[in-house]
Amino acid sequence: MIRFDNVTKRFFGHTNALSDVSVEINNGEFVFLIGPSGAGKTTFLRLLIRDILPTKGTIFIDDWNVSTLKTSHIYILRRKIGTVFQDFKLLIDRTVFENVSLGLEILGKSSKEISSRVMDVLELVGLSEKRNNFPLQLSAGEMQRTGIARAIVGGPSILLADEPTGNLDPQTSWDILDILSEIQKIGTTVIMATHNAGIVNNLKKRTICLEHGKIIRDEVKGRYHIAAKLKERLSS
Amino acid sequence: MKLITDTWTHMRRSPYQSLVAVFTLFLTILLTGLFCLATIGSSMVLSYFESKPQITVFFSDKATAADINMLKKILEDTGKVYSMKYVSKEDALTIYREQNKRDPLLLEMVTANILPASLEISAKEPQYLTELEPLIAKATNIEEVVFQKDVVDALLRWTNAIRWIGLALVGFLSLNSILTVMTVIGMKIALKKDEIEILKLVGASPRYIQIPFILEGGLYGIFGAFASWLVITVVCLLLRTNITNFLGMIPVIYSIFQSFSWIFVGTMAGILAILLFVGFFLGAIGSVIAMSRYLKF
Repeated sequence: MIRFDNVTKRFFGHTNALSDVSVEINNGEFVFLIGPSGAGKTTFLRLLIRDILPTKGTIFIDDWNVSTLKTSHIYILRRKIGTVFQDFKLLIDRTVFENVSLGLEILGKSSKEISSRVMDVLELVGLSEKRNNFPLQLSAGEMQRTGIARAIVGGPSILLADEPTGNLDPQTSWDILDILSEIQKIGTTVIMATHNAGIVNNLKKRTICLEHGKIIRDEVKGRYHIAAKLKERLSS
Repeated sequence: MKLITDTWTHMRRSPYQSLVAVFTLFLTILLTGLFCLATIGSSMVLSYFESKPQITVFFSDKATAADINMLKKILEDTGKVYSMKYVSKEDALTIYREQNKRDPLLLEMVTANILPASLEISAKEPQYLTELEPLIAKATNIEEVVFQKDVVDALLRWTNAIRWIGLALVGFLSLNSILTVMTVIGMKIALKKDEIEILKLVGASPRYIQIPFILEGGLYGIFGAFASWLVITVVCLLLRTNITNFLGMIPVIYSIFQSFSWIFVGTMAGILAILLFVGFFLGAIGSVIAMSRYLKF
């Protein structure tokens, strides 16, 4: 379980990116994080992987207090969490296979195990044919699927996706969502930050809406409210 | 194994930076090796001379057994003499023959008659030598008195000079090497900034990220050390005859350089092991400093 207890994050010289946020996310849930740019979605995700520390409050992932975690133990936390980035963050000098196997190499798995597991995951995301391609030889959707494969190959209990469909066309976005839904079905907690109203409204999953660093809505079968979408468009 | 191949790939991708690091380490380790050999060699020469009698009294041909026994008794009575050994003309000839057995021409020209008998004296403490000196000077029928102390003092001065100059130079070059490796590895860390960031985000441990850089610095040192060892070995082989001619009277040096013996091979292998260790250590230290400066967790 993920728990935020009165978490505030203030960046130096700025207003609060998150203000007194308290929320619980159960294991195996699929949660959308929505809100306009600057609402605190990315800050929320960065706090979870201890990329940044909260200014106030505590964050728990199961029994781990993320806020007080020793720097030398951060990597252990990150092995429990797979992260998918909007800009993919792939190593351009490595093939799809090598990028995905990175998630297992860092765990010290044997070559045989890496090979078998990576092929399984590439099959799941539909990239087994392109395993020897370099990122620059892939489409945006394929790069994002590579990123997802890398995030899930180590079998994390939580998957964070920071606007994974932000750079993709509608059809490819739905393909990515299908993959994320499949991953949730096997028991992984999925938290996805998105601006994509179509996806949020169609999937009808739990939706947490952030604005000015505060949670303004937390709905079990949430949707993108038209007013919010309009406001978001005006702000961006 | 994958770690080594990855490290090798990193080195190949920026060959000029790698060459600068290897070349700097090569120079440092070469000079370190040469100065160490010079220091060890001079220490061997020094201990050889120190192990020799501290005073050698050469008697003239007129000296009788009574003269020699008288001097021995005077010195013994002081209680300050550790050992005394009388070397007769015949004994001197035997020693001379042993020392020059490879040069028959020198052997033909020398007979026992032209060699002086001598008394080799060692004092219990070095400071007693000054007290024994006037007693020897008073004795009759003495041709020459050789004080080993003068030779040892001169050698000691040379050994110390070599040691201090070597230490200063090696210290300076080591610092230079560490700074060079640090700069090269620092540049590589900057070049791989994105990759390191991704590795951190996917959960790579600090050790997983750091070890390739430490290995890279260490490998620069190992390459530099191996090249230095090759140069030192070639120098030793080229100067082998000169060394045996000049320092062959010292048994250790003679047995190492006399032929391609196992002692020579063993010595060179030992030197290689030491140089490789020094090289790896210098390179790794440079990398560790670069990481502490540029790679924060």
